[in-house]
Amino acid sequence: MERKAELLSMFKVTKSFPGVLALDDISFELRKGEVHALVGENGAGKSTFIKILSGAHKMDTGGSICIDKKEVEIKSPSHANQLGIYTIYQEVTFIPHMSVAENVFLGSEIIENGLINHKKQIEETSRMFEEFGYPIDPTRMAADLNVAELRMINIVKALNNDVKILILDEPTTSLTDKEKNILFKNIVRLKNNGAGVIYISHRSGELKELADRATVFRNGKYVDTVEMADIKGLDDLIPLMIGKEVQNKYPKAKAPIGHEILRINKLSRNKFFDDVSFNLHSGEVVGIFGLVGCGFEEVLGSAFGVDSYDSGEVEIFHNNKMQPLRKSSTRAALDNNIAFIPRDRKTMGLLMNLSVAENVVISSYKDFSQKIVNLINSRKVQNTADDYKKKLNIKTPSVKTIVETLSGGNQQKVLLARALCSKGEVFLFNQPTAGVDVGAKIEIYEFMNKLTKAGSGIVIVSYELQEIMGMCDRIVVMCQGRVVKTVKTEETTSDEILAYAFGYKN
Amino acid sequence: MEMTQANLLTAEDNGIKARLKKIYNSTGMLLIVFVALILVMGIINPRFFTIGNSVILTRQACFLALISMGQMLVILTGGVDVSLGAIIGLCSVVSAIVAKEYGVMAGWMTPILIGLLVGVFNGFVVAIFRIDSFAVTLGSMSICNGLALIISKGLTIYNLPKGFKDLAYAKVLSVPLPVIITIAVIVLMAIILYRMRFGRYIYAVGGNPEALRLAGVNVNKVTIGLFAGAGLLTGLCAAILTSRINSGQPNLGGSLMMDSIAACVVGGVTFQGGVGKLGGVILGALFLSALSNGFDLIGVSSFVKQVIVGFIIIIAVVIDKMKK
Repeated sequence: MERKAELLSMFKVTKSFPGVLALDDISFELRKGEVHALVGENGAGKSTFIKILSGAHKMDTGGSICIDKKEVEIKSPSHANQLGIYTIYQEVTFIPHMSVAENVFLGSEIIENGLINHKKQIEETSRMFEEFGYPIDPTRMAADLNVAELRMINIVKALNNDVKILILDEPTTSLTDKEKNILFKNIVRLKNNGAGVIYISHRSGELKELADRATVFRNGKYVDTVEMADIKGLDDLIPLMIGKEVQNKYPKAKAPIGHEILRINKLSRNKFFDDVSFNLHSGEVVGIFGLVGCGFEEVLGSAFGVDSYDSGEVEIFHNNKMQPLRKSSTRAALDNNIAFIPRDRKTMGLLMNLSVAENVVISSYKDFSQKIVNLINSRKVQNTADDYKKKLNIKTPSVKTIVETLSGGNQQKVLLARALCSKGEVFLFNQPTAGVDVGAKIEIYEFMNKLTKAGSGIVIVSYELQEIMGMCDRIVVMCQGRVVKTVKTEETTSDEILAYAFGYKN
Repeated sequence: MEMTQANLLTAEDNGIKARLKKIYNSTGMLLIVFVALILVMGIINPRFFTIGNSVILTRQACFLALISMGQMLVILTGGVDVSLGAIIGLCSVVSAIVAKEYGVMAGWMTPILIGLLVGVFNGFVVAIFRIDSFAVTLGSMSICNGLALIISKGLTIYNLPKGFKDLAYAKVLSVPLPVIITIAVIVLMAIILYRMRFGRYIYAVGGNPEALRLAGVNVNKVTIGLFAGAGLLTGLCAAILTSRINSGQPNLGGSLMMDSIAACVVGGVTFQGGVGKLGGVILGALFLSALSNGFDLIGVSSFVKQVIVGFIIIIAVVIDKMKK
């Protein structure tokens, strides 16, 4: 294959934050007309890397960045744009109470006689989106749009410029196939025009489809760059990403199955789910699978008491017999040793502004307080948190560190620690590994094995069929709010489960 | 008036019905309540409708409108400026002293300059050190108050040069000058807020400052600019107020700062930032002034008035919340 001309080269790039070395002596090269994948676990330094390229962070002195063989210093986001570097961040950024057109032209308004020409901006926006193949009404308020539409706005906005280097960070998150295809078409167009694309994604299918080369980062260090043609799939890169051979993505260890510990009995909630029954035994992992909107997340929420339900019963093993659980009370659930790991750890799980230790003990502060005046025994808190840090291998400088600064996988571990700390016996996991990298995923699965071995039971609700097949003893399939099938994992196949979930079989 | 300006963003506006609907959307219940209030006041005391009273009312509303527009800039970004009332006091005493020493024109201009300077100071500290605007302006409130008392030795400054009060009392085509000035400022503000970058960036800072930064905009400049704007408008308000009472008073601001927040809140500017229309704020200022004026006319004590205004503010916020 003909070697294309070099577009960007970065040499000895280092970035340190107080207490953390986020990027350590990284070198990187991007060619013209190339899609270059950047892969690595959460916390490998990918985000810091692109923030330096996009001007959001300044790198430490000593490194160099060259574009078209000319050394440049990227001073600010707007300066990066002047150099032809445009970034689409993982987080969708927008101003909620402004129109699509205003969002698109934010920072580069069309000015005539000192005034913004709104009409022209609206027309231009219309034209841009038409050209992109994704028509949208430019006068709609950003606050009224869904995430996929907002993401497309971010993308179209960047691509409307003279782009030399495009950086995409998990661009397909929350996009439908239709939108994805539009995006990919435009990436290919850009590439054919000689631009370079840096593409970050956890989805191996996309990378296989789009990328020419892939560079692996690990713990802020450069590991290797490979031609995509030379490898079968991204799985080949996993050992490079986590630095050790992975035997099995789903290290399921069977535990002896004991008595019943949770019974969901004919549970119904208007508009969400109807007549749902299943049970859970000690030592068992039950997986609930279904498509988006099948109601399984709501079932879990009602069981834990986050939401109410209309009829039916949740029963829990207590004092040697099954007893009904008070409804819509998370306190009652916690007191009966039910632990819940919500899906969105940022908004529903963690208190992002508090420390690791506080997050671990927040649902069980009672156990850390003196009996009479209720003063918190901070030494006990500290010791317990340290304990969990060790047990779960939470990577944090200290348990006093603010949770927000940890990587996704480690944040998820903090949530697990909280569940353990509140003495859970029944664990309800909603999407336990969403947005978590491979290494941490495996650690979480191994942690589940430990729980079942100790006699706990686990319910996993997940959109990832592989995870359900890989980790569960029994599978409950839901379709449109109803349980359509309950089956032992070894007696079924992925195809069968999917057929039930889609409603082809019932 | 500026209500149509407020809706320039929407592509077309045609038809009286559509226009009315837009006005309703941008000002909500306020307009209806405002009209009802005027009618009720007028029925209870017909003097409310006289031209004389209308002039008094509009003149009163001007001061509140000016300072409220300044306050609006800050609240749009999710902050609040509590120093505005104190700025008026400082501006007033300096204005009086300068007028005595250097003449009428200098006396009118200096307060505007001082307002601007205090505003820049506030904005600078908020932007550069990333400090909450409430804390910063609380500090400058105390500073301005203290300076005003030091400069005036706590006393009212009288015997200003002849002609000083023209700023407040002169009329052009039988319209009071302050009203003309205020209308000019409103038009200017509408243009800045809806048709100029700076104005749109103020809304953007309140909506999502990070997005604005990533769009390549210097957020600090915008922040300093809007506090400067708030100070400037307050300085202008102070100049006219000082001229109106024809003396320099260290505590001239009185309850104006609180009233300016009230006008913004009643007018639909939310404390989360990024939401609020100029038309709403103007209407809010008019509404509060009319309420105050009407209560005076029908003989409600100013103590009772305070209680009622308090309830109105809370009701306005509740309605705003329920609309979402």
